[in-house]
Amino acid sequence: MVDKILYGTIVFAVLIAIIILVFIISILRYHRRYVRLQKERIFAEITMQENERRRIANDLHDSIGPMLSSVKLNINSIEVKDSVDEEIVQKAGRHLDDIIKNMRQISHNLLPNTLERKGLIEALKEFTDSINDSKHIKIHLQLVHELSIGKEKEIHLFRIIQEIVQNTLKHAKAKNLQIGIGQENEHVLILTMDDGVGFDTETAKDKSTGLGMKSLETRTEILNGKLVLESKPGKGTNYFIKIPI
Amino acid sequence: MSNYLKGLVVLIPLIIGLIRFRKIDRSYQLFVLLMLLYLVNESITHVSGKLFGTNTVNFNIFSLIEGLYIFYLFHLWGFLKKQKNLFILLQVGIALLWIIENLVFFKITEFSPYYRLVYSFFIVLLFVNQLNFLIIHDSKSLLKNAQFIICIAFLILFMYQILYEVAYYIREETPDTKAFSKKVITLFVDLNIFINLLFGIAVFFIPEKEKLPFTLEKLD
Repeated sequence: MVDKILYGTIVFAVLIAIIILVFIISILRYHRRYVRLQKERIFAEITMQENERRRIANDLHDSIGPMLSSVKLNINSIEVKDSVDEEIVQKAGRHLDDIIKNMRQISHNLLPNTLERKGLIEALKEFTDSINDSKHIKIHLQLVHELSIGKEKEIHLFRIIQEIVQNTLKHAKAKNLQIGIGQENEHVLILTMDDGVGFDTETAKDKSTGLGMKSLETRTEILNGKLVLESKPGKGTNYFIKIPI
Repeated sequence: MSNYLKGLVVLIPLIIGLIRFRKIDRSYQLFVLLMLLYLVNESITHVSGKLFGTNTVNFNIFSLIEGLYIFYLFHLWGFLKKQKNLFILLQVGIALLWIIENLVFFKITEFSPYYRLVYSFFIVLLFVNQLNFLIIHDSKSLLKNAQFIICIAFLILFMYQILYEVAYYIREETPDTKAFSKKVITLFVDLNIFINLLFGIAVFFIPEKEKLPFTLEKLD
């Protein structure tokens, strides 16, 4: 008599336990799959964006650039006798120079040629040199001689450092920014420190409307990396990024 | 109110479903037809009770149909479509279990709990899995998702059915278990009213089939 009650209770308890277990396992599986799909989607979008930038940069550099140079040559080869006409031709030539210069800058900003031709380290050196030349801030770059990263990851690392520098220029009011890049145990490590004004990271997270920080987090996430941000008002800002190769 | 009248609450989702029948997707049309099956079963139960004093035979036959039908619904909703072997295994497995219990051991004229316990258990697992899929993947309001509401309703129904079968199994052991079982069994009828109301809400939220605004002519 008691056996039946006992067996009945045990069967019921076991069935409920299995149901709860299946519930937990299936929700974890679906969540993991969903996160993986989201990452793949974001990675695909960012890759498409970079490919588009590459295409536009190449088009500007390889087709429009030479055409404009050719137009300038043709204009300079016009024989003008009138001083007013000569003034106009020279003005047109100067405008063309400005257009070519701006266009090269746009092309460079879209995708630095050096990154494609010489790799990440040279591209970073060129980028930080151009910032140092503008004298807004002094960037001290410490690089290991060789990083063995795939070409497809180089652009993302470049963008991450570019974003950190942009954030520092925009918000930090810093005089110096140190950037260190190294490699350790199948991971690329990036450490940056500035002597700027710093900020309250918790408040910034809630109130931030800018895309810079989100872009940093997104790029780190799609590379399965880790991003740590440390900052306090008056104490500058540090970024630590660890990305598996 | 008699149990038969309480069972007729299934008319609510059935009528709403039949009104919207042509506009909804096939998998949901089959769900509406399941409501019709429930109504037919209620009627046969009522008639059989009046004529023969028992409804065990139609009850057991309906349990088999219900189990096979719901597994087929999962096949249409996608989960068992991707797991074809599991679908075949479940259909064949529960059919075999029913045959063994009701025909080989001739329990068809009794209320034997084993088959219903097993198929209720597997149906609960399938609904838990489907529910989790919807929770993770649906970006819109889940409370207006027909499949979500159907899953919740069936989950409650079949989990209670597991309790019902266990309660029925131990009903004659002691006066306390008899009283407990009687409460569980009578409450099942009232629970059905709530479940049918949930079905009614779900059927109301079933999405309509996409209508193409135009068609393209075939190219030669």
